[in-house]
Amino acid sequence: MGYGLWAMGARVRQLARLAIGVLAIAALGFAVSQAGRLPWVLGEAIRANVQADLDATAMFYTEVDGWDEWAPSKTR
Amino acid sequence: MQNDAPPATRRPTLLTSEDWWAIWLGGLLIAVAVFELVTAVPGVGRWTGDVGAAFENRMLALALLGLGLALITALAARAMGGSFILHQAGFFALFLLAVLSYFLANQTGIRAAGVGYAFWALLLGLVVSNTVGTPGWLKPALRSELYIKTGLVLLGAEILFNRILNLGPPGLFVAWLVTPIVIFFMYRFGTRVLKIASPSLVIVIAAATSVCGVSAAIAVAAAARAKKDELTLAVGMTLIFTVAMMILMPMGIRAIGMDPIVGAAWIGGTVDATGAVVAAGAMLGEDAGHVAAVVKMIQNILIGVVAFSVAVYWVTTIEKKSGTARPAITEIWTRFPKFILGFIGASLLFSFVLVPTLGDEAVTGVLDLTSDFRGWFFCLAFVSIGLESNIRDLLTQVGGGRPIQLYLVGQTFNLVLTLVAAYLAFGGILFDPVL
Repeated sequence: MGYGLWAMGARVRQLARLAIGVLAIAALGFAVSQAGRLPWVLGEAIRANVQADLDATAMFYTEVDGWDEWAPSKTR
Repeated sequence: MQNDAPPATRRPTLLTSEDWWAIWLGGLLIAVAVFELVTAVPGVGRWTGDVGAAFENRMLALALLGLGLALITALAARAMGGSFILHQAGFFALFLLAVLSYFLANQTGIRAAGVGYAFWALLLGLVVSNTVGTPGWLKPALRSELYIKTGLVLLGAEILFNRILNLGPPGLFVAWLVTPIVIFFMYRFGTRVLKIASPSLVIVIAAATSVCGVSAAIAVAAAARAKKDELTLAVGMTLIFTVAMMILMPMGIRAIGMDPIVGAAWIGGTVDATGAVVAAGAMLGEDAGHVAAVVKMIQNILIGVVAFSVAVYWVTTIEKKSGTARPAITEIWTRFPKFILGFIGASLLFSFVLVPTLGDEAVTGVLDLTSDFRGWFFCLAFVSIGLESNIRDLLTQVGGGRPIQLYLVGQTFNLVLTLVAAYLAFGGILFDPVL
């Protein structure tokens, strides 16, 4: 009986920690999604990315739209 | 990365080792894309405020993708001594967490801020494993090594050596001269000055800093058999600093009135992730954005050479017991991470066989598919790593802040050296100035 209660209490604590973790991820996600609202130049790059529809998360060049059209720049 | 897989049976290693299975799975998916057996790889849609937009008309396709990936990875798991059924049972939960990671990364604001799926996948896995603990039924599906190596074989297809020859000497000068110097400097600094005990941690941070962030960290971690915690630490640091550099570098370049083309080359050579380079370069103008992208693309291609060199160096030097002679060729072959052969083979196949025979446009279509498959495998790997990681162990890796010191000193060295190279190459000193 005593052990059962202790085990149930431990499980409840684990689930509470999970719920807090999930809430923290959701809050972090929300905060990052609002980073474009940062004042001055801090949010400027992010606002420009949203406006130009740029994917700043691309890991490799093949994930960037139009990569196959990249060519050497012409000389001045 | 260190192999935690169950011991192989007496069957040939071609059928029992994770490295070879990565080659078979990567090869299968490349074949599926080349022969057009699959014409699109489903993904989570982009969304802003409406959560439903992320999954609109995609649920069935995502379920089929999950089923397909579960089947082929379960086949590999079975051949490597695991259970086909138990792997599948766990895989669906793993896939669900991967979908959730992509869902978070594809939100318009998050996507623009550059916080990609790797970050969310690690975080989701860490939260589960460090609160309720990773459930036993999920563990058979946690084959991070297999997912990473399969993703790397697919990544090899994206390294088109023939393209670098067309991209011009100034970009080659910036990307290929500085990168090896920074890797060498950081490796010596980390092991000799900071005395970081794990050379694999040092080389993973060095590659992430000097080549191309997360993708380089993954490739070099696998080549040097780094621990999962070491990869997690390197990826976490590179993701945070990439976002900071994406915001601060264009701001600084404009503030001091630097030539935008030189500034763009500087960004291309120093900001770790390609998406962040394109975004930061675009802040300096269209031509500058183009220069930044091309420099980064050339640097991306270097990842194959770096991963191969690290694998050879590790097998012949680091893993060699002190005081013993250089290992024989057979021993080198035995220790060599075989998935690297798939990685290099895929690159050579695409660069010198498929591009000349199918043409650029067809290969671009194939790479759209293989890069999507690769993204799913990397995402599954990061969720698995998170689920297998303990935050206390991660904190011990931080080791008094020495890895962060290594990153900061290495990145500062990289910034200075790349700035000099960018001035020489794009400032009209060594080559004609470019638009």
